[in-house]
Amino acid sequence: MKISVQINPPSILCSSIMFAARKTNLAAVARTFARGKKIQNKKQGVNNASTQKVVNQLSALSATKKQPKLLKLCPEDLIKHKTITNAWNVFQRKQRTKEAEILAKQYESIKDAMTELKELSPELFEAALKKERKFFPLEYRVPVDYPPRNPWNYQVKKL
Amino acid sequence: MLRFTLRAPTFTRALPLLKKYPVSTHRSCRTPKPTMFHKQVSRLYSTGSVQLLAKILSTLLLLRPPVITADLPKFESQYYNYQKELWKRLMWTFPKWFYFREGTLAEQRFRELNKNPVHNNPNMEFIGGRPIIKHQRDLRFKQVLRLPKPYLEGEEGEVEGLESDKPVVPNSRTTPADASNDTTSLERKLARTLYLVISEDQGKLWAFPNFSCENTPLHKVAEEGLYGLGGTEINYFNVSPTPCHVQTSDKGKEFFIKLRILSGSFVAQNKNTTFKWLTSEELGEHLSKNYYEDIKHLMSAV
Amino acid sequence: MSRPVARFLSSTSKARGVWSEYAARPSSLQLVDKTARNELFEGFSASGPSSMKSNNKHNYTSPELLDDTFKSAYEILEQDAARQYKFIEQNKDKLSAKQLEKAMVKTEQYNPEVMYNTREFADCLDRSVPVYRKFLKEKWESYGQMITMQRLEQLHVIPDTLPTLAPETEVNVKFGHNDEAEFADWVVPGTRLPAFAVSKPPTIEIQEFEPVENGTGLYTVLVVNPDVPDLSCNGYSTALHYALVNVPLDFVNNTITPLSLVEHPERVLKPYMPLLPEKNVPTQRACLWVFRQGHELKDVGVSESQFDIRAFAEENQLHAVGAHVWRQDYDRSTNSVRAEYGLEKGRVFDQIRNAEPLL
Repeated sequence: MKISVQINPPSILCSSIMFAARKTNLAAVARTFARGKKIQNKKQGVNNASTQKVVNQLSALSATKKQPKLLKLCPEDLIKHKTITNAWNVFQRKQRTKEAEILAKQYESIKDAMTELKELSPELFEAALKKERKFFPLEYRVPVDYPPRNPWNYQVKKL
Repeated sequence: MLRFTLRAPTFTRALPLLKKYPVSTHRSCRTPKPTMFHKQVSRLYSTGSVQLLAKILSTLLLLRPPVITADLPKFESQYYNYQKELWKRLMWTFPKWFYFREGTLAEQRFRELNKNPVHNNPNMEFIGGRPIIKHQRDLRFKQVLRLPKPYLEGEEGEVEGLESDKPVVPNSRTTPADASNDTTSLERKLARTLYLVISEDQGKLWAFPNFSCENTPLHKVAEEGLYGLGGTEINYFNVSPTPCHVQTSDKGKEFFIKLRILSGSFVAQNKNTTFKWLTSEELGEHLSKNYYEDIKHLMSAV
Repeated sequence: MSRPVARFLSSTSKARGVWSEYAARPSSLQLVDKTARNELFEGFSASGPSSMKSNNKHNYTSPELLDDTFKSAYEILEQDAARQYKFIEQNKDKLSAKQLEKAMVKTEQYNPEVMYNTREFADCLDRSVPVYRKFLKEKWESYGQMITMQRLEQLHVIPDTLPTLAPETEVNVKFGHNDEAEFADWVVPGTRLPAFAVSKPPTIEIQEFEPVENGTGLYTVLVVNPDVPDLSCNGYSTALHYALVNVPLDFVNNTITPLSLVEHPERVLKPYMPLLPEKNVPTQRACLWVFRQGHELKDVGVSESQFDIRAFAEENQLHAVGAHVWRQDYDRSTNSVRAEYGLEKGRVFDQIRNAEPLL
């Protein structure tokens, strides 16, 4: 007589089923007793393809055995790292202040221009403030790392 | 006197708005529709006193936006590379069993490209510490992965076969125009913003194109002037009709209008006209020093 | 395994930047440990970083690209420091003492050698250098100051003696005559000490961190005990146990030792008398107050029992800048210390049962 206690759910794709099964310790040791002989897969009791798939999926997400060793720096290297970070902060601060200065100057420029235009010719001033309905041109490209084969498009056909 | 008192309300209404929305003045400043009376007054003013005050000029700042990304300063690129190395060092092991199923061709190709590291053999002496191998990765170092690709990597001579098997080699960031230093080409300095300057006297004096302006709006004058100077084979984009700068010169008041060239090219219509596409630094060499100092902030740093 | 060696600070080559010049800058800005300095700028030897103590240091590997990036970072920061030095040079006369101090800190705060010193050799920093003082101040504010203020408030030193305190100086107290390791170290504020441990006058370290505007550089130190039982009013009164006046202190000479007072007996207004609580008296607090003097004190009289510290501070224009506290109980060494100071045997207090029970 063959006693079979194999648990073979049709397709275990949902991880919650997996966990529930693990709790009861049934799927984890899904064993087949055939004539009193214990057959067990090399990988801890997973002997069917769909369960193996879920195990693979879960292990891809889990950190087990995949985390590298902690980065332990000696004092000299730690100081070097801090110096690099400090230099980066100084560098960025300098860039930001420069940008802010230029923006402020550009704003002043626009303001001056408009004030003068108002004095010189109110009509042109009105025209310069008129809101036009226009679309962002499709030909305008975002800069990329490497240029296309023809860097510049000499055709004027509007899209 | 009367003119000023009547016009005062619009003037004061427009300015605070300008201050509130500094970047996009052209969009946010809604000036009220001029009434009949207002129109009358302004016409009186413009016909009567424009000539007396100063001549209005529309100066064209035609720029070619960068085609490729900016060159990073040395420290910046070094810093990014350093951070990338740290990131790689601290990254988890690649779960290859998830992406390459055992026994498949792809897995075989992956295994050929990535040789397993030497395991912690007790009979061997290791210089620089004993390896800690988990999932065929030494946990002390970054994991260097080579993934099988449908094409060959790098320059490996002539490859016969399908187009898709050929190695992908990106184009050079420098162009022939850079090599020959052709300043009239739109293909030079792809990483920088270029500005158009013209000269009417065979390259002695360089300046931005200038057009005198009667009652036509400034940006219209600039756009029409551009077609007159460089032909109609230019596709441009104007972000705003608002002038971005005013410069007083002996000719009059120059109002700067920024246009962007998107495609096409500038072809001088007049025989005497010569032109150049220059970066902001090169502009400093071609324009007079004081003039350049005044307009330097309008140029992009990139 | 080969290590990339970055030789960019070697004295033989290249023009040296501001951080390698020691003509105008104090030499204490240099890294104390010469081997570590070598390793910082020129890479490790084959045996690994010498600062690592473990036997595993042969196996140490630095992060990749660290040295090259450090080289550029150092140049950027050094250029920034050079600009700052130039700014100080140009505006020396216009800047106030505090502004000058701030600017001086900016020149050196990112110097890797200074950072190394503050990290590894925090105990022996040169206190005359602004950047080190700033570091010490930050360190004090992050721990010592908080501990002191917590103890002062929880033990009600504030407001039992003075109304409040805005701490500006670090105050440390040590009883140097003790041989036992337990009592020989600096006293943590609020500790209970036995009578023998406090039987001799303490060593007091008073560290200023920033230059004082219009300062006389003179300090007053008082130790008061606000817990003397006063039977006449069925309460407690304050007694003065130690008073020092006109003690000159600065950033570097910041310690008052019993020996220095032997040389200058005029600074002792009231000689040291330890707190000697009598039996069954509640725990007594020895409150040490440090004051900055507005002027030099002359002919000051003090009453030892019934001492009013608030009135004293107000009369003599004293500005409290720091405090410390320790506590004492009656213990088995109290009687011997009493005998040492020539006092008669202390009283013994008893609990008196009220006629009416509390409950």
